[in-house]
Amino acid sequence: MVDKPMLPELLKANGISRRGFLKYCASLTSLMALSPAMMPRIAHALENAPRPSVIWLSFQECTGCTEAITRSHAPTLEDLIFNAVSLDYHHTLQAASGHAAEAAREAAMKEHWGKYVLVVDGSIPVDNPGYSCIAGISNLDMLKETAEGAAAIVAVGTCAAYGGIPHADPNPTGAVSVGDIIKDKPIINVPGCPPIPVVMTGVLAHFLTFGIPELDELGRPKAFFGETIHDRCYRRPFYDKGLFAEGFDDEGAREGWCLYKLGCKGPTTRSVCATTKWNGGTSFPIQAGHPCLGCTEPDFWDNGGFYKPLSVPAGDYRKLGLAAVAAGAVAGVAGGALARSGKARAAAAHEKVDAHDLEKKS
Amino acid sequence: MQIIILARFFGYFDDKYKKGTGIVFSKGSNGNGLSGVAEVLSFASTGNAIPVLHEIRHALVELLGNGTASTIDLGAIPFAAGDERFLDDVLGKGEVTATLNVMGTSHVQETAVAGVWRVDHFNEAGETQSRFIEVTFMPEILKTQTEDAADGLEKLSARLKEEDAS
Ligand code: SF4
Ligand code: SF4
Repeated sequence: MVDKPMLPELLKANGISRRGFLKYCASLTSLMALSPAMMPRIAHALENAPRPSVIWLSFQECTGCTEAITRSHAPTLEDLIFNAVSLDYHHTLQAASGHAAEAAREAAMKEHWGKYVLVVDGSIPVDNPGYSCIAGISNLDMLKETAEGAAAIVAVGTCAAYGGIPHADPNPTGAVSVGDIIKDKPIINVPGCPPIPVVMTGVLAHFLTFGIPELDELGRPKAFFGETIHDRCYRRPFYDKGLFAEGFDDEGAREGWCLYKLGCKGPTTRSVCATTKWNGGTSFPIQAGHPCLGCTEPDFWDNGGFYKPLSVPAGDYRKLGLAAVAAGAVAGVAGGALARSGKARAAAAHEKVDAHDLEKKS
Repeated sequence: MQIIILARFFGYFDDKYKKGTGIVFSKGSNGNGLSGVAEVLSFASTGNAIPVLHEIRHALVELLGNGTASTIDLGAIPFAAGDERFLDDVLGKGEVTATLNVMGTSHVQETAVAGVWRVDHFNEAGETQSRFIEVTFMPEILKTQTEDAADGLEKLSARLKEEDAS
């Protein structure tokens, strides 16, 4: 790690002055929701911390998380932080593939054993590990093997953090989260479908400067998941006055009223969408007129329907999800078993729905 | 139409900030539909501007008392457009305005309350990165940094050497 340039050198090589570095640190402090008084400490840590080696594994996923973090159209804070880590293996981004890529992963693991950060996106199928393989190695084996030498694991996206969409009813592959399998390493969950890029990079930056951030009971960094969408929603004044849109095209919708009755999950969803927003701070779903789906929460896909208000009983999916998380924390292997029993139950109760049914039900 | 928006829109602030005052305004007759909503929201207030102004006052006392400078992160406080408006109204524009061209631009402006500065950082795409109130005699970001001055010396010396050689 010693031979890699430090962040200030990287900035200098890009023609960025010390003043630029200070600006960068100030924005980073704000981004990490730390007190501005911490700025000098962050500057000091960034100047002296060696760049960690990062191995990024993608399992059952849609590549949306990687897309979100790498698709900034201008050089931004995210790019800089992302470049400040040395990405030794990311099979979606790297040129090498197959066995050559695996050799690179093994070399990086060996060189930085015990010190690298493992980033995972996607869930892991446990019904039949062969459902998802890379170079003939099952996701399950690759995760276990790579996790062993990691200093910490960052589960990026709801799939890696809680099983996400692959885990959704009827969970055909028996998909589970990273935390269901790995029990002996610190795991930072950064859920979202996908997570907001600055949240992903903020977590990496926090790790660079101070180590593992403070986590909530679902393993999420409190700095970014401390408040609900509803806490910061600009439609909140309408909620408080009891003014709700009842349809997507009614008077209330046109006046920008609260979307609670259209199924908004903002009140139970912890994320910074309402303040940080998406696409460089342009907008977020509620601002575009659509209720929050609750994508940073376990089992958001099965939480009773996107267009059903929260007060409508949401079936037992959510309960099952939370129980799985809690049980997983106590009993190591329970995750897979729970996923399987959940799957059998879901398959038995499986109903087919199309967009038309969704409309009718909501 | 008269619309009254209570500064204590956000019920959860009630216990923290009892002082929230009401804002009363008239919406123009052309304020209809989406533009009307935007106009209404531009006056919406969380009631957080007053506590921030008290915090600034306290910081100014500290600065004058024992020279301690402080920074308030405006990104860390729920602020609606109406709060921003109120803050700007009270603080006003002061004597110094500077634009920094460093990784995008940064605007540094002393407010009409001397010693209280607004520091806003933008990235290359012009998006806001962070916004601060600094209560200080001189914002750090305006000063030339030692490392940059050393760089400058190196560049000037190299240039003079070239001149000597030719
Ligand atoms: S739109 Fe959703 S998050 Fe916003 S106030 Fe209504 S319920 Fe809360
Ligand atoms: S608004 Fe809700 S559903 Fe949308 S991205 Fe944010 S947390 Fe996910």
